[in-house]
Amino acid sequence: MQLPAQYRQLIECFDALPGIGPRAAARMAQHVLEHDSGERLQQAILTARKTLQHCCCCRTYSDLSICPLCTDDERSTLHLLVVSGVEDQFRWEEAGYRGGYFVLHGLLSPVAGIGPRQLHLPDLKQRVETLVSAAESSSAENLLVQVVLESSVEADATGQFIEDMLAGFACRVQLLTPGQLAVDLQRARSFSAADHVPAGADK
Amino acid sequence: MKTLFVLQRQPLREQEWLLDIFTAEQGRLSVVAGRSQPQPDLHQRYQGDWARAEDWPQLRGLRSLQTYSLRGANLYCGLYLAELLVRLLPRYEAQPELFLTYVRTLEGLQHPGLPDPWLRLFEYQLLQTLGYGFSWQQDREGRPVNASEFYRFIAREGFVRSDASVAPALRQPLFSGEYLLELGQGRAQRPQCWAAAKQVLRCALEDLLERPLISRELFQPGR
Ligand SMILES: [Zn+2]
Repeated sequence: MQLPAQYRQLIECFDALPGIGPRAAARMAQHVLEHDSGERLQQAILTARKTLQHCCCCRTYSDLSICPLCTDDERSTLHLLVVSGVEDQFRWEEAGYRGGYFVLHGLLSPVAGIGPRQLHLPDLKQRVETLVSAAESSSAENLLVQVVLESSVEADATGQFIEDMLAGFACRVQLLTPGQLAVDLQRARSFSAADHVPAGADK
Repeated sequence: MKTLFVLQRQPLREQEWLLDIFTAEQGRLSVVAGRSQPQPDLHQRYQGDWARAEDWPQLRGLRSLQTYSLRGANLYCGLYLAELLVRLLPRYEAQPELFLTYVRTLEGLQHPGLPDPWLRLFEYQLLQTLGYGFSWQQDREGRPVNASEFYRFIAREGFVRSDASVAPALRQPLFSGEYLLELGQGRAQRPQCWAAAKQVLRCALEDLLERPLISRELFQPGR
């Protein structure tokens, strides 16, 4: 017996998702057809695909062409944090980081078809170019680019490539693990807390 | 227990990975590494076993035997090897010789010297494995290469003797028989020999690839 083409096509769509095999795909197809959550999933995908885009500056997901963080004048333009996903951006925001971001949405992985262009590294280069010339014209200190990635071969290659790519620019590039950045931010926080100790308070 | 390398990893469910692995006994295959295993990575030799499970076999008893630390451009070379294997190697075919060559190539790439000889030997063995092997010492018709002649290389066919005065019109690179013989006899020292080997092997591999290799872009960070 041949199942309807629409049903087979639905299974194929799930099967094509990363990390989903044919059996799991069949289970998901049955689930979205049999339950209300199928309707909600359909709406959520349509709405997200219609309204969300990549911020033209940091490439995070945004419903505007440039995201609120990138238009916030209060943030440092001398710090740029390169992260692999939006969940990392969320994490560092929570930890108190207040500079700019660049979200890669992945790591270099030639086997998976992901190279410098797929990660939009030419856009990162351009962003750094803009920030460096702004820093130069305001005679401020040098831009600090921090690439914060979990340790793996793909992450090391990504960090190294970004470092090579930015070699000619008047900026400092640091490759850090999340643990190292967390310690840095912690330290920065305790310094600024000390700055704000009210005058006359006991030391 | 079998020895294996991870060529590709993608996250599956929480703390689970779908891996494309390379083994001597079964060649390339997909397996799932679960929670209880160490986090799998590329450029490491592992010991492990797998058993049939839903969708993909489940990896068990994964243990790292050796980490190959590749630095600088050699790190990109490691990714290049993996991309070649994933793009060209059929699944589930035993590859004992290529597997050994892969181990030796990773070992060689750990040293800071020029990666060229290691990469060329790997590419040559890969072509042999895929059934597109050729000899540096014989032309397409099986005649011995002559040190004083020049040759063109045609993918899937081999070397063809060419008149040095006519060939430039064909816009194909010409290779000195002297260099080819040095390569074939394993005594290539001069950079010109390795430059010739790189051109020949690239031509042979590109003919088998449907689209350009992504890993090549890693070697040009300035562009
Ligand atoms: Zn933004």
